[in-house]
Amino acid sequence: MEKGEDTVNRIVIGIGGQGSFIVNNILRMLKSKTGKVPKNEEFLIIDTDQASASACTEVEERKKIILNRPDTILMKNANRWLPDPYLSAAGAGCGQHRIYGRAMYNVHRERIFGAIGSAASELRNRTGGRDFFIVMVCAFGGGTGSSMLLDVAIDIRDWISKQFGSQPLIFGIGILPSSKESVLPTANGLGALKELHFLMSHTGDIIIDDKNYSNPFKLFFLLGRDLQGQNRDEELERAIPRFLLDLGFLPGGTVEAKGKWLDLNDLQNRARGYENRFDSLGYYECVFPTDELFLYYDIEDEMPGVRQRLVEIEARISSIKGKIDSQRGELERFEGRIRDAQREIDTYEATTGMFYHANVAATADAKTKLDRARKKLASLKEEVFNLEIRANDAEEEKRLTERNLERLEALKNKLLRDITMPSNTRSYHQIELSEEEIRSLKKMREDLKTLSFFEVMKKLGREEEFFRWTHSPINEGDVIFNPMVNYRHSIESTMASQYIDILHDYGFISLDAQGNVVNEEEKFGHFIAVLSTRADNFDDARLGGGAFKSMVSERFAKDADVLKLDTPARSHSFAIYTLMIGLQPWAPGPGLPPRLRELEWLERAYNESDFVRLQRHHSLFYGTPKPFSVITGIPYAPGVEEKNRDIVTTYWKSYEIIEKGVIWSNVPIVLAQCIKKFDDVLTGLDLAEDIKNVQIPDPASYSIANLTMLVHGLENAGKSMENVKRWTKEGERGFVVLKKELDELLAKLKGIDAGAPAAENAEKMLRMIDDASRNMEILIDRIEDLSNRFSDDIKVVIEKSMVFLGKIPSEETTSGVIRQLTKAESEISKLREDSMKVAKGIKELGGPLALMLSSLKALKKITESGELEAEAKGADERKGKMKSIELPDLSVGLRRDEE
Amino acid sequence: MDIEPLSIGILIVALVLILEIVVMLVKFKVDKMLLLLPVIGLIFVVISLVLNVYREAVRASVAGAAAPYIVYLILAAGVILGFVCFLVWFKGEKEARKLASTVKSIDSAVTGIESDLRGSRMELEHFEEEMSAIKTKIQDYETKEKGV
Repeated sequence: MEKGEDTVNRIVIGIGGQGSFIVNNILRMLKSKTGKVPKNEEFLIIDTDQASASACTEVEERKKIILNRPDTILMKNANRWLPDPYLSAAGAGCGQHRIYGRAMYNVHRERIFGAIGSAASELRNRTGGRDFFIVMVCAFGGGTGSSMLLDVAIDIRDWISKQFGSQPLIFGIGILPSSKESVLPTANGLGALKELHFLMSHTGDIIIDDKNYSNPFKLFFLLGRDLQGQNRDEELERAIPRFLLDLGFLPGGTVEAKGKWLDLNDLQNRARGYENRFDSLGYYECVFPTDELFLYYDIEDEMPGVRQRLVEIEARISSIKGKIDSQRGELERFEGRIRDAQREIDTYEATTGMFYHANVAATADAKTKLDRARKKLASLKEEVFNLEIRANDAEEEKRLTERNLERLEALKNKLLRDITMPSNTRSYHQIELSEEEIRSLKKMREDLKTLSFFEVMKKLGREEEFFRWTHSPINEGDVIFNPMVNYRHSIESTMASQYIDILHDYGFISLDAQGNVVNEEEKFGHFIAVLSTRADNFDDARLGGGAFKSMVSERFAKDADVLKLDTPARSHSFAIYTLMIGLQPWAPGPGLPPRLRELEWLERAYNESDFVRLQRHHSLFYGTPKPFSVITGIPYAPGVEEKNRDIVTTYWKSYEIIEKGVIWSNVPIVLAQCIKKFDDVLTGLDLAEDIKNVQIPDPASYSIANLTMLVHGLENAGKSMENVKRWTKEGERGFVVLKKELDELLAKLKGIDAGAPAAENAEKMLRMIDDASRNMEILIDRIEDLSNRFSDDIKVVIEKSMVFLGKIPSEETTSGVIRQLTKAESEISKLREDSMKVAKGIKELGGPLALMLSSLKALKKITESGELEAEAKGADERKGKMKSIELPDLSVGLRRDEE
Repeated sequence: MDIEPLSIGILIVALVLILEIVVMLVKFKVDKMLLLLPVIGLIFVVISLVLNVYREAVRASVAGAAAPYIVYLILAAGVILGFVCFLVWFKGEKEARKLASTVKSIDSAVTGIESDLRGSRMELEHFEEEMSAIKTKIQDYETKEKGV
């Protein structure tokens, strides 16, 4: 990052409980680093829950936009479309109902707008800059953030564009619900994701009623709350602020980095072309526990002194208490003496007569003094009482301090445990130290501050370990698998290996030198790894950045980059931030799990809601049917609010998070599944065919061995029959599913504007369709043939077996033979019974197969028309090129190329 | 006229008594009842002076040898009364001094206790501050631990 005056105005907006909490965290980290908020930054939170907003103590009160629930009448007046059950919400805030959040936004829109607008204007006045960078953070499971995010983003983008004449750069950060959350937030997650994807898919301006419904986000980062079944809330809370602060997106002049690297412009350029896709972040850090060590040493040094002092204090307090006791006695004694003195003075004064003399002045003085002493004594008695309480308090305080000291001891032990046995995760690794190492490092405590991470590890003789935890994640490519969502980079593990073989045979995928699947279609856009540490912790030879880049760009991403960020402050830590731009969350093909695993549980929860309850999971376009209708082309009925609401709900229900063009890449996978299925059916048919080949001995040559062989043969045939019976059932079910997938695919290809497949892919697909159709025809014939003769074949086997059994001489019928005979007869009767069923089952396989054949023909037609379209497009391009050849200046270059 | 030495002595005694009265009245501000003693004593001295001056006349009325004794007796009574007055004053003053010293000792002892208590209080305050500092330090360590 280059240093200089940064006039880009930055606004960070947290919407809803979790969004606000994260903004609060960012602010806390920023303040702890710099002690103040930079003048070009504003932090706002929008929440409907007063308690949750109040907990954000770092955010200025005037920057908290707390939306109170209006009464039901106002709610209904502002939202005629809102169903009565949702006029109020249970629990806090929006009660996790997105539909209610939408209604709340409509009621408070002007206020939200006013607050954000005034923050933007303040920034503009402060910095003079007219460029805005906005980060919006929210969770997708709640009611407030997920329902208001899109409207706020659109409104603020439009407002800033109109006011200041430049479009703001908006980044979104959305936190997906975990698999352990209840149905309501989990289904909300999918509702929000569908709406966000819809909006992101519209990159061009769509201005309806003065509102632009195009994608407001340049990048939208999806983050998951659990990874591989483990809760990662803590990591999220740490990673998001660190990502924004450490990488300098919210600089505040805090990042002391050298050299040019990833700044907002770079990032925008890298995101170009992937604005309609989601993005994610990854975070990994390896640290040497310097801070823990220093703290441990400080506590270790401090404790004996404190303990000694407490012993001294205890002795002193006890002596003071003794003194107070004796002084109390003294005071009582003096009280008696004062009384006596008073009496004496009184007697002295009272005696009168010729032979008596009293010194009035002296007695007056004595009386004054006595009075003073009496008063003093009274106050001292009070003082003694107070002092006794105070001494007791001090004693109690000492006991508390002792307990605190015990806490400190526990803290010391905890630190020791943390240093010697750190709890490391996938994204955080702390070097563990032995107690001996801790002792030895204490001697070079001062040097430790200046030495680099690598040098410290070298001093400990553990440099190999340093490279293993810092350089190897890049060198060995592990860091690619460390995003903060559950994302599958490759279909390899989720797909049956046979699919891969088939796809490979047809040239849809290739294999690299190590046998890894290389599939251009499923690569995401851009992978950036930013390594942040002090320069002397890098070893370029060990890093292998170039090899990593080529590995990532060959297998996972269309483009990859490894950026080294020299951060002097990070002398003892090595952080790797990863940005994954242009993710494809959808399933690589029908019947396969989605790449973004979160979609699995989001969809499961979403599908649990019936139509009426589905409304609570949606927000966008409720109450605004006109833009919905203009964008989707679905007609609406002006004024009929409920009907329009249901139209919107129906649309969202069937909306799929997938790119239209990507549907073509599903075709080879479905076809591969078909071909695989045909192979499976053929194997099954062979197994069925094999049943008739039971070895039946010659009836003339009876022996016990032959009888036993026949019984074994019949038993095996029975088992095979069972398997074939089960297989026919499964086969039929499989074909029905496959037929459904094929039909759905056809419907998608017909129903939406999926464009044309790439010409070379269309050719391969047609080849696959032809092969599949041919296989199918063969299969149908074989099924027809086998189903017709299967029963007869089995009948022949049964008859031959019966003949053999009938020829057993009567003198041979020992008890053993009778047992074998009974077994054989039971197997024969089972075979007779099952053969009918199996034949029927085989015949029934033909039904869906015939239907699939017609679907394949339809697919072929669509693919051919797509190919023609692609060819026409190609011809146009060629024509364009030909035209360009006519241009004199370019023709030279082309000729050179030809040469 | 020649003044007899005895008369001069009596006059001196009278003057002493007058001085005593004046001093006691003005300086010591004694009770008026007590002044009755030197006043009566002075009257006796004056009577003895008069009797001494007019001893011839007195001799005529009393037995010749008793007359000087009468003078001496009256003079002695005057002197005794003056002396008694002094003794009474002295005794009263002594008692007053005793009382004052008792009160003073009480006062200073109480003051001593007060300063002792102040010392203890300050010491306790210091301990409290010290322990509070320890507590803060421990809290700091805990905060730091959370931060690392």
